[in-house]
Amino acid sequence: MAEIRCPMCSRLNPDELEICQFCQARLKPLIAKPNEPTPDWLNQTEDDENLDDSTGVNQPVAPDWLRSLRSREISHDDLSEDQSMGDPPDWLRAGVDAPDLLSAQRRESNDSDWLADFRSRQSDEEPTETEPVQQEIEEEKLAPLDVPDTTDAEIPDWLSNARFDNDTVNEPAVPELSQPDTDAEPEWLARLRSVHPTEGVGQVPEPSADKDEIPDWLKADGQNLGSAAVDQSFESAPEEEVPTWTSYFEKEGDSADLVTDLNELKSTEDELLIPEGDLPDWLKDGSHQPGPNAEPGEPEIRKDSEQLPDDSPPWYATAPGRPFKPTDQLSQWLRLEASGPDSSEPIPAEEIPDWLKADKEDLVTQSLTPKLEELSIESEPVSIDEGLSSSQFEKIPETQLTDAELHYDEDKADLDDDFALLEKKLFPDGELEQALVTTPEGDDLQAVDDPLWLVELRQKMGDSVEDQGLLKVSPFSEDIEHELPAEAMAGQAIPDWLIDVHAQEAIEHITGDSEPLEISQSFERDSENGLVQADLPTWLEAMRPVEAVAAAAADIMDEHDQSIEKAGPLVGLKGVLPAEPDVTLAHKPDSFGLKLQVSDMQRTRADMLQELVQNEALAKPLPRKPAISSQRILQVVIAVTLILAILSTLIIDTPIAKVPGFPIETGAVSELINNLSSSDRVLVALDFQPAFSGEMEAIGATVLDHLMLRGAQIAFISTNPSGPLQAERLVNIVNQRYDHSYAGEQITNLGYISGGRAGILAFASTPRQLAPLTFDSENNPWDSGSLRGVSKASDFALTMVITENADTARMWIEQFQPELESKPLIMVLSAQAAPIIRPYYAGSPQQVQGIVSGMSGAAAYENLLGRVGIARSQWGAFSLGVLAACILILLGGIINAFPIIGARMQKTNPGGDDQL
Amino acid sequence: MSITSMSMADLIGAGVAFILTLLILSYIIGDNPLFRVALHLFVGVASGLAVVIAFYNILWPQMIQPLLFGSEIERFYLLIPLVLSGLLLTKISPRLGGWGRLAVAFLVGVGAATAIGGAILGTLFPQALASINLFGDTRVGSGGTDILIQLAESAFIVFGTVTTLAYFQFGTRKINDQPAQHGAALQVTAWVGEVFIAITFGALFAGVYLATLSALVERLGFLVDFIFSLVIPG
Repeated sequence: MAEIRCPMCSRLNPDELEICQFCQARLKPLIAKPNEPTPDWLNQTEDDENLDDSTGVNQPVAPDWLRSLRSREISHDDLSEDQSMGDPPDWLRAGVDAPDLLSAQRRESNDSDWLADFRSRQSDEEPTETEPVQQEIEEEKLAPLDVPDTTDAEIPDWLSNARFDNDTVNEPAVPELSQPDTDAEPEWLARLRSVHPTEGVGQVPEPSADKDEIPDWLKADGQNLGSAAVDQSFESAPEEEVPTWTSYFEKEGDSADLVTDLNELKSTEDELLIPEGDLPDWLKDGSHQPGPNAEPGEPEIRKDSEQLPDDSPPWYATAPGRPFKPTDQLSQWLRLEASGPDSSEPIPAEEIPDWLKADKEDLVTQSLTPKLEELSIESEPVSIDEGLSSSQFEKIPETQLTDAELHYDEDKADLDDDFALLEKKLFPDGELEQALVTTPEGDDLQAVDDPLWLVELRQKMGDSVEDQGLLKVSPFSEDIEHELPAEAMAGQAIPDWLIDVHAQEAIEHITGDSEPLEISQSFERDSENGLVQADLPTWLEAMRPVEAVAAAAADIMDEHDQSIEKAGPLVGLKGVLPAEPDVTLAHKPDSFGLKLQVSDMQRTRADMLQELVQNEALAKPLPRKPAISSQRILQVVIAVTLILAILSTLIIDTPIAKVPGFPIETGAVSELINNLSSSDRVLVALDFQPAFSGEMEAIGATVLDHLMLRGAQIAFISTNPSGPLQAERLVNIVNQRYDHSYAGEQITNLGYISGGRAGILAFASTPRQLAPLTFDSENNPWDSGSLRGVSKASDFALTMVITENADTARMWIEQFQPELESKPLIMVLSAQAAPIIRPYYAGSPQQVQGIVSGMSGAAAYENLLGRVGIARSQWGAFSLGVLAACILILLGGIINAFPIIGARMQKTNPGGDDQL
Repeated sequence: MSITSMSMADLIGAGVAFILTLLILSYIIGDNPLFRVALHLFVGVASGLAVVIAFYNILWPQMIQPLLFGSEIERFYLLIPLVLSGLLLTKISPRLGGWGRLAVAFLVGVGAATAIGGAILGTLFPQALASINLFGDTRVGSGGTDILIQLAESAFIVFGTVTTLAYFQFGTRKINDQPAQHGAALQVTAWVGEVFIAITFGALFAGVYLATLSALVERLGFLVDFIFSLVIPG
């Protein structure tokens, strides 16, 4: 057995059922009868959408209800259950009898949807001033509802009875509409129908638009709302004009698309019958209302007073032909609309809703939202009849209205406002304003025309709605200041979400209490962030990132939050994510320091090294020498000792020492000089330093005395610049000491010869050229004088060199001696030079034939000569001095030897007694 | 000597000498300005004397006088020394010092030749011959001394000479992995030579001391005599 899934509760139901057995929703949508050609607005829409159901390709632009409607035009045979409407909208599922807020909301949303859809189509179409709103509404009625497909089994019965089927083949039965009860017709609707621009109250302004464009349901007058004439005014809308939503009114068993039967929208006590001619086109299509002129076989509108399906929308109850209870509320304005311009009877004033009767100013000032009292659930939902017969609107005192409401300008009103837009479209010439003239008896109109959703909302809110002190907010008002009775807010705990800065000011204005409201910190924080912090479960709390990341994220967010977009479509917004990621943003890379990472130990060592290097450049102060040091004392002691020893001997002048014997080399000198004659010329080379004149003069004087005693002619020469002077001094000393008188030609002072070795060599070969004159440069000794006939070194009988320097002696030996041939060469030397020159004497062949060295040699030579000279006079002192020196050296050695010996002994035996 | 027998020059000279001697002997207490004064005075006088002597004994009679009063031949002979002397004087200026290289080269060459020739012909060869002749018949048996003694002396001399020369042999030879060193014989010989060298140095030091002592004695004697001459008249 086939089953149909309920569009509301999604439960499976038997195929034969029209209403869901669980939620009482209609299982099969109503399908409108396609008796009339498609209206222009539907054709135009179809052209725009390029629907092609044959290929199964549907443009996403066209709503489903329109597509389904068109598909039925093409081929009604192709229609199948699959093409049935889908799940009915929420307002259909909700049921009729349930004052369910959700249902009411659904129905309300559906109303908004169809209205929005209507509005969108209007915007797509080329706007024309002459295009009446009625036509649009008619088109809206004919336009299929955007509802999902559903099978017939899922369409509720009530819906299936009201069908607008454009398909001529499938002619859904139109519920038979009962005669409308004029008494049950709302006053507002009746008034709306009968109002003419010049008739005033109770007359529905005749739309200036083309009659064909005006929906038929609007053409019907108020009286016809409950009568057959009304029923007749409704015509079945062309197949293409039937909206999809009308498919909800598909008759039971009809598998075609459901079309809403406008007659079902009419409400009487049992059902609302609207003349066919009065029905708007969008309600007429597929709608066959049983009326006086109803053709047989046409679908009849149910007129039984059967229980309304639970899922039927509230407005459905007032739909013409619908078997809804008269208690269902139908918008009075809708009823008024149903009454077209053909209506000869104006709508009674008492039937015209207040919001329609009120003048322009009143309309503006009137809050379109229900009054506070109306929101109370205590107030019973006003029936349509009651609403039409009574004052529906209560004029709100101007003191309670805001400035915006007082100065509400229709022209400047927001067109997005539903009611304002609708009003404008319906009555572009302001017919409604003229018609809605407040009558004396209409001053006390009661708001009867309250939508069901509003009523239900009121019931939902409960009794305490009014007690909660809800603010009467006008939709036009932008001013936060509202005048409310102080008692409305007194003693009430204002929720946090209601408390904000503006609310604080409002409340202060209202209550006069300037005490700041307590706002929870969490809410305040959340309010600032625009978010309400929720309580996270523990497991989610554990998954939260670490604080650092969160802080970083918060910082990032803060940065973004603080950055305000200055360009682009998001200008002025804060917290916008940057279009470019931070990576791509050009920025100067972070600079990182190049500091060397060193440890404390490394730094300490580096400091030490640096200090060492710096100290190298610093001049260290020398240690201060003590004024009297041991070395100084030793020097003084030694000096004093020697001086005292020598002075003592000199002062006493007592020979205390024996004159030493003469050595062989000294004897040889004596022999050589003894061999000289008085005619022999002796060359004496005087080459000692003046500093050594004490010793050298003592030794030289002795030998020179012997030469003088032999009467030799002495020629002095010197390679030292002071030599000639020293030579003269020596001669004087010898003359004085030894009582000689050598002078004149016996002494020839040849002066100084330069060139060192070379000069000696040159003098040895050519003495005349090297020393042409004497030292005084007056005589030429080579031609006359003592050196006559002397032309070379060998012409001298004896050569004597007096020097203290061994090199000088060697130089004479090396350069002059070879030129002497066999002539003797004797050396008168200092004690320091004698050891070096002695090999020249001891060698064979002898280069030196005699040596007289030092004081001892001089003393010995004087002793040999038997003469007392300088040497022998100083020999005592000299000997004592030598002795003192020897003693001092010995003592010094001994004193220094003990530490050295002890160190050596300690080195060899380090353990000492321990090793023993 | 008495002060009355001394002339004024001698007396002044003696007095100056006395003072200068004392100044020099003040070095006992260390370097002091008095010593410096005497030292500088001595250097100055000696330098002045040298300049005078060089001019009056060298430059005037051998260069200037022949150049001015001599014959052409003498002047021609003076041309080369005169040029070289001029070139040598250019050594004073760093810019013209290159010109004096010839004179310096001549002097250095002549001096080197003289020194080397004299050393070889005057010292090396004769000394070497003398060492050889220590064992010759001319020495041995002459002088009336015993031949053995003479031979011993000769041997000792030769031995000392050889060992001394061995000491100055610094060449080494590396054996296996041991550090480079002399041979054992060479090391012993060098050590003996080192002994002779040490003795020689001792002798030289003694001689130096004797020389200085003699100077000290002579100076102190002078001081005493001067004082005595001043104190004891006549």
